[in-house]
Amino acid sequence: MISKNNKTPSNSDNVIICKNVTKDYPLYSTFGQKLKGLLSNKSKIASFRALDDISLTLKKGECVGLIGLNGSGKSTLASIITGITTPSSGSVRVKGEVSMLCAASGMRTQLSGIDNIRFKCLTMGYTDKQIKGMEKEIIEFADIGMHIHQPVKTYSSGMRSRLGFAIAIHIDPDILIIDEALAVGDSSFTDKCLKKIDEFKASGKTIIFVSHGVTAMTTFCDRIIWINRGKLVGIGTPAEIVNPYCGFAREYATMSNEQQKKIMPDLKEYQKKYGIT
Amino acid sequence: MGILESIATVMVELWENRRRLFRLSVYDLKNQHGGTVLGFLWNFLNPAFQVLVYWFVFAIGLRQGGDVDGVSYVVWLTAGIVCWTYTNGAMVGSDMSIIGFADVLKRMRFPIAIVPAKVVVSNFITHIVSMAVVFLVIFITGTPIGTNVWLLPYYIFANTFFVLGYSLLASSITVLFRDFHNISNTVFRFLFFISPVMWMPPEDDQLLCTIMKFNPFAYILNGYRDALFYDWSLADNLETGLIFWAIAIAFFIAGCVLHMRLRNKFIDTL
Repeated sequence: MISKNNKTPSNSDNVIICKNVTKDYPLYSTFGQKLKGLLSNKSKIASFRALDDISLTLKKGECVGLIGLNGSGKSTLASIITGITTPSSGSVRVKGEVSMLCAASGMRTQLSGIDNIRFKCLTMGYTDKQIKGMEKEIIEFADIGMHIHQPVKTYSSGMRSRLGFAIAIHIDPDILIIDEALAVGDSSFTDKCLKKIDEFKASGKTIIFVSHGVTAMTTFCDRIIWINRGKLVGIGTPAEIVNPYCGFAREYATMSNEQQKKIMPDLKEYQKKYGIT
Repeated sequence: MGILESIATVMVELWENRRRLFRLSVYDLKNQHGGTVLGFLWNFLNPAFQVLVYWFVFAIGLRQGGDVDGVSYVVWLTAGIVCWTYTNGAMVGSDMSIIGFADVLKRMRFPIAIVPAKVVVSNFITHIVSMAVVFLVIFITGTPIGTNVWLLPYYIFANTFFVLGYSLLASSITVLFRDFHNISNTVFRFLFFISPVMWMPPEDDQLLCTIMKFNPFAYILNGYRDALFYDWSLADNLETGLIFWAIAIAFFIAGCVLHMRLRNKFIDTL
């Protein structure tokens, strides 16, 4: 079970505590199976294990990277921490409000940019007065000019990510999860975001970067979590993780499909092979 | 999760998020007709035109403007159409509500119970304004108001409670079984004709009178009119009233239980 806003944790600095988190996605093939699986808690339907026994603790004010190849379970873990979905077993404890920003932006494309700002703030529970105040700052930060009054479906991917980031950071969550969302912005906007992220960090808030690439992570993540096929490979400083991960990713690309499905990297082995910077 | 715990969880969630629920309902009303010139006004123009069409077809065309127990048919029909528009609108709108809100539910933690409830609330707001139109019609035509008009809020509450329970149930069923949306639409079209929206069953027709007794919509439709035009009290409809509340409470309990049972699985299924 997830318990949010718990005021009496064992350690006041820990904002996210995951214990043995496992997530299974049932693979229904018939309607009968779906019905059985959804209505009873003890059905034996073939399932896909997206996360397998993940335990980790994140502290207040930390900036953490979450890396792994495609399909390693990064986004599932991010969803569980956000509280969108629940683990099949294990426990998650999160202190404070979480906001997740996705590359797929999660915006209503038929609405204008400004209406998306209002809608997002409304779903978060803000009052009209608060929204009026936030609107101005968000529009200023997104800096997409007159396009703010046009439907989001007419936006370029860069404009969408600008607006998405501007909304996510101004909602002022305690924990911000950025899922591949900065990849499409140009360098001047990325710099602006990174500056804002620094401010965010300085005010004692926690950030999680989710990505399969490590370029941005090395510069400002305190720690990096590496997962592969739903299992935790290792947690460490960027220096301890980045080289072994990049080495593994290169090796992985040359493997056959059979090998790719089976491989579970050992952190120590890859650290020896590719070194710690 | 037990039955009582499910009911309590849903009710607490609705209460704690009542402001967010209200603001989202108003937002929905404003945006339902986004892109149209008249916008928000369509929420009231649609039922008004509907009354006008029925009035034209039935009062002028077919029935030649007779009356029902001393009340002009047009006025009687207006009350029925306004009541049915609320019930039907909330019920038809709610079954796809969770599926339609999937984009938000997949991006953030959200109190899911308010998703079907907001369909009920936005229809409720329209309904209250439409009721003002009913009173306007009553005054213009000089129809005398019933002695038990204070029962009207009770019938509006009963109507709302009924559709709220249904909306929780239907929105959960549709996630499991999407065909429910199409099936229920057909059923509602049929229910419109076996409910006393446009006509009253002749009192000597045994079959129709039995259907009316067990039809929750008949209780509500008759209730609105009893309160507005006639002198019937609650005691006169006691038996139908008890049947109505049994059905309404059963829907509400089933809605809460199914909603809570599925809620953690909604996101993975949507």
